[in-house]
Amino acid sequence: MLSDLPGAHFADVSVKYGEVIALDGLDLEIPARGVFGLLGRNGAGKTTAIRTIVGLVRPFSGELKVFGADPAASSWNRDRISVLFAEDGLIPSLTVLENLSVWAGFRGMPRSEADEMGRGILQSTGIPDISDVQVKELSTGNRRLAALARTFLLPSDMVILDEPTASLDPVRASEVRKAIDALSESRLVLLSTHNLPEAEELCDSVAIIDSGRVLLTGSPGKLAEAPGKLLVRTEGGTVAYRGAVLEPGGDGYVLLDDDGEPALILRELIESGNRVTEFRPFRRDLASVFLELTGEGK
Amino acid sequence: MIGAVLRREWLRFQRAMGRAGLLRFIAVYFIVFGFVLPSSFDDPSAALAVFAVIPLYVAGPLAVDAFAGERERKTLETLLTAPLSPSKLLAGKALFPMITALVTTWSVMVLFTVWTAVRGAVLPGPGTFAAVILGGVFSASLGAVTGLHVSMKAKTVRSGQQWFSVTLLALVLGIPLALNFLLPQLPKSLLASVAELFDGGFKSPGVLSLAALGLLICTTMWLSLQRRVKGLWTLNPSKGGR
Repeated sequence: MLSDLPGAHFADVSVKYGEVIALDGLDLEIPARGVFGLLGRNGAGKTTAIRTIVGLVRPFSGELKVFGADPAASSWNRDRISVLFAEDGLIPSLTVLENLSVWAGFRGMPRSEADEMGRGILQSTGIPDISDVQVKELSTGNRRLAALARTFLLPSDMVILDEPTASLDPVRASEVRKAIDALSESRLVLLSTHNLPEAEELCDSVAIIDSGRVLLTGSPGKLAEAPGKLLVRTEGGTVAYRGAVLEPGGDGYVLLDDDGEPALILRELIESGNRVTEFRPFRRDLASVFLELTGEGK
Repeated sequence: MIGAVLRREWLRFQRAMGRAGLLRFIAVYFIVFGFVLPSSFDDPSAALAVFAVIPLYVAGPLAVDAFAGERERKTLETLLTAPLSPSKLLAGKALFPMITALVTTWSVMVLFTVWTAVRGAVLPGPGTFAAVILGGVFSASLGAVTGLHVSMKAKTVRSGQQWFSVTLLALVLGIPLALNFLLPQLPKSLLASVAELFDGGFKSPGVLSLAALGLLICTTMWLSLQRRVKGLWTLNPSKGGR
């Protein structure tokens, strides 16, 4: 069954641009549903990975299957995959609605139906009032939202968004994220970004890539876990633990490094006379995981 | 689907020209070829032959914009992921310059004919009109496929148009110069036999052979375009850039 197949499966895929290696034996499986984040620095290989998925770039070696088929050899996935590149791809001299209507027409939709569909998606994206404005007259934020509307216009199984909120102010970025969240529903959304809070907010699972290789995959929650590390806050500030007095950090917490059972550790803390006000597992944010992995945090 | 490509091209062309620019272009075009041209020639048949060549000059530059323009406007990559097969996109990109060239040329040709009749000059025969119409279809096709070939390679519209102009100039100057050099070298009897092939006008073996040759040239160039457009789609970076 097609639905059982992963959205994309990279097996030791390498892509070279002349002497530059963009993907270096990439091994990655992207599920068929949910929001999947492809995280990495500029030049990490995110956009090249996207181009290979849509068949615009042929791997130098390795095997890539998209919904079970070779994307460079088959054209059927054009109907199944919708992409928003860093460049929005809208024709500046056409109005937003004309851009959308023409795009729907590519799939053979009659003009009246295509126009109707365009208006519908603009409504869902929260920008119905810009339908008759030429794209070149739009603000950066509205232009990005219009491009997002184009990307989600037609039914598809996979939507790829390459840096969808890059160059947007925080308010517009938040609106775009809301739109992505609302429009993604039951399909696979592949989000390429170096905006880590955005990935944490939107993604069900992520892969961190660097120099064309996968460093780590998993859900943002799982990646943020730091087993054996606990945060303790007490009324007095310091924590007495196994004969030592531990000073809190600048945030008022003491970081305990202990692989033991948390419930037993808490009991031991209380029995040692600590008036514990807060006790919880330490969680890293995705940014610190990323910095740690890529060696940037050192 | 091809209709959507045509609509996209038309809307973009219309906006790029602007309403005033489009009207100015049509006005100049109609005045020059509809009134000035028939008034300047004593023999309307000779003037009419111009309409077989005009589509080449209209279709070519429009076709050059097809991919080079997309590249320049940074819309090519998105277009290549559109829910559309390469052959349909190519067909739309080729048909737009051809249709535009033929519609404008034939509209002016109607004006030319009316004005020639009003002036009281003798109109060319139906055979001449048919030959000019077919010649126009051929030159529009040639302009479109040549322009598309150039467009796939060119990084900008301007560089593409320069390439197209050089190619056209080479053809326009090269063919008469080559004929001028070659014909005197050939035996007169051979030339006489060739001339005989054109006896009988439009339905003569010579004209039909030329039409077949034109068809062959356009078909070959079209097939080559079909091959090249797939290369435009999937880049093999180890073998060079798009």
